[in-house]
Amino acid sequence: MGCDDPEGIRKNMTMRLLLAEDDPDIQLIARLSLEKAGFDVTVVGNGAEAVRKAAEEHPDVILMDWMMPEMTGLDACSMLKSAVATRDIPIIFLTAKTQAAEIKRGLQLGAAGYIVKPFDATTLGTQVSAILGKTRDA
Amino acid sequence: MSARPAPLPPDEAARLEDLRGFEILDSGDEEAFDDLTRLAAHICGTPIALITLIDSDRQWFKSRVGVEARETPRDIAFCSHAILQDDLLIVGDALEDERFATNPFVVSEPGIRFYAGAPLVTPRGHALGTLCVIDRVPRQLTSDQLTALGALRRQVVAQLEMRRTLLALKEAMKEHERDQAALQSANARFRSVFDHMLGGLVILTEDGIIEETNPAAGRIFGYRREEMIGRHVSMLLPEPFRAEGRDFLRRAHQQAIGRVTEWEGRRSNGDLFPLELSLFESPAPEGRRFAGNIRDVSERRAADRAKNEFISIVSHELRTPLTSIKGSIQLLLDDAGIAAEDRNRLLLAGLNNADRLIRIISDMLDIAKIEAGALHLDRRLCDVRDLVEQALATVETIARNASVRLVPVVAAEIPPVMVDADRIVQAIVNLLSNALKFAPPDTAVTVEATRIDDARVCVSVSDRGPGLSADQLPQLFQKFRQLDSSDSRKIPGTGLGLSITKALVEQHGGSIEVTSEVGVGTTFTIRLPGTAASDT
Repeated sequence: MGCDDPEGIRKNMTMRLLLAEDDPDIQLIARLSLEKAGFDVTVVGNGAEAVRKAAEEHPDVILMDWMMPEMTGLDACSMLKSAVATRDIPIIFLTAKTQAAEIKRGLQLGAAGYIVKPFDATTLGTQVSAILGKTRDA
Repeated sequence: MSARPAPLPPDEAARLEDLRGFEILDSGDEEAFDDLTRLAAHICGTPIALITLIDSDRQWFKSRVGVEARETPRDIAFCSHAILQDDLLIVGDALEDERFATNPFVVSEPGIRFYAGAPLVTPRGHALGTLCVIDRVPRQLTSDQLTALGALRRQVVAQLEMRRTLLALKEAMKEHERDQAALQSANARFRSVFDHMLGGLVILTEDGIIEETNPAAGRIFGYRREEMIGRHVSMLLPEPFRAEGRDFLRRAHQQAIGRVTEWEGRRSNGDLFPLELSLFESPAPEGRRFAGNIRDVSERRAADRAKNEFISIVSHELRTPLTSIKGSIQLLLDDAGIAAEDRNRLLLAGLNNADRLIRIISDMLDIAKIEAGALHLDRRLCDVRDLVEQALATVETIARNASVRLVPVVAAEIPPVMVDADRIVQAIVNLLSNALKFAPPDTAVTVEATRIDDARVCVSVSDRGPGLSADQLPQLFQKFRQLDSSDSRKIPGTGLGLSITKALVEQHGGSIEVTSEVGVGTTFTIRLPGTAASDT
């Protein structure tokens, strides 16, 4: 196998993304948009599931809604950031919470970025990559 | 013609001014002066004795014995001559004196022959007039009589001075009374402002002892005035400031003099609250005083918080459906790589979210209309059964998706109601949607219409959901209030539905109430006035 297996290289480069979002329509739209951009997307419906899934699968990035039942994205973010196993996974908020104070609060928890809803479904993947690129450069 | 008039004294102007200062011209009779003229007439043995005051063009008699007139012209007055000299003017026989020989008072009534006038010289050196004695026969005064006349003249001057001092005193007292009254009225005005101002005012000594408070301060802090006065200001402050004690005032002085600064206050029940303080220093004879102007801003802060929360909720509620609408359109426009099955789901997502957005917007407009008092009802006679059926039809799909049965129970004999059908259907739909949000699958939501009496009908909606505790019930109808308003709530919505429902029903002259039991379910009951009652 090794270097001359293009399939293998592509697989290795595929980003595994965990999407935590409770609205089924937005789940669908974000998933389709991200899959088109080449992400390998796993979807969960609330913060608690996101924490569990992240610990199990250790995704490359988590796209996290804020307002979700069971556990909010904020709480999930703090939990993930305080656990050794998951604290290095970049978390990007994808939320309709758009007030400056809210954005600040989200970023203060250690999130890598903040994408507000309604997001652009044609460039969502690019936006995620851009944030991750910035994070790596920093 | 008259005799030669006396020349004006060299100090005439000052003399007249001095005279005016006594405010005595044309005043009434006074015993004190009359006693002296009577005494002068008696001692000198003359039929006439006068106290005369020489005005600019007349001599006026303050007191008179043996004369009826109150005044005579100055140019024929003996006294006009008498005031020209310091000492007594004695005319033994007027007919023998060229100054008076042709004077009308000599040649005709009262036929003066003898005149002795003692000038009344004030301490300021001006002769105001005389104390004079007059006889109709020529004569002389003994040296005793002259001495007595001199003594009496001094008495007259003393009396005049005393009178003047008294007048000045009375004037001063009147002025004092006026000042006092002005002070009292200013004080009353100040009191009234102090008592009625919206802001609290606390006046402190330099040591921070509360010296005075107004009723607003009492309301803000929850103390009676007597409970605060005499105590240290730290009683109105939370712990960290309390410990500071005396230093507090120094710090407050540095920070809050002439500026509005925010502090925390402590009410009598221990509650802490935000307050705005502006401190100013007011001088007082007892030492420096500080007045703290206090505004309780807790309500404003709460309103700010509620407003921010509202903006956040509205923003979220509008952005969420827009996300699906925009996203589905974007993905459908560039449909490469999207399965047919997903395309359908995207179309539905777009449509459903457009509907959701419409509902949210119309709810928000309804609330705005209700708050502006601009909600108008188009009342018609309606059959309650029709209203219930329309409402059920609206939520049928939602109920089916939630696997909840809708059970209508409409009484057979039910009077028609005079209502705006659309609005009452909206109210029932709101209650049904609310019930469907909480009803567990495979349970029933019941809508029941019954007749209370000829004038009233009630419609109730019951679910078998989790129910509510008694302390949650009052919050139900509050605008933008969701029992679970946390970011992790399970049930979406703006929190407007129930408050709109309540407003709609009340606008109809009806009422809404709720009964609930945890673990059993919740029932909302709308009471509508029938045809008998119809206003607004």
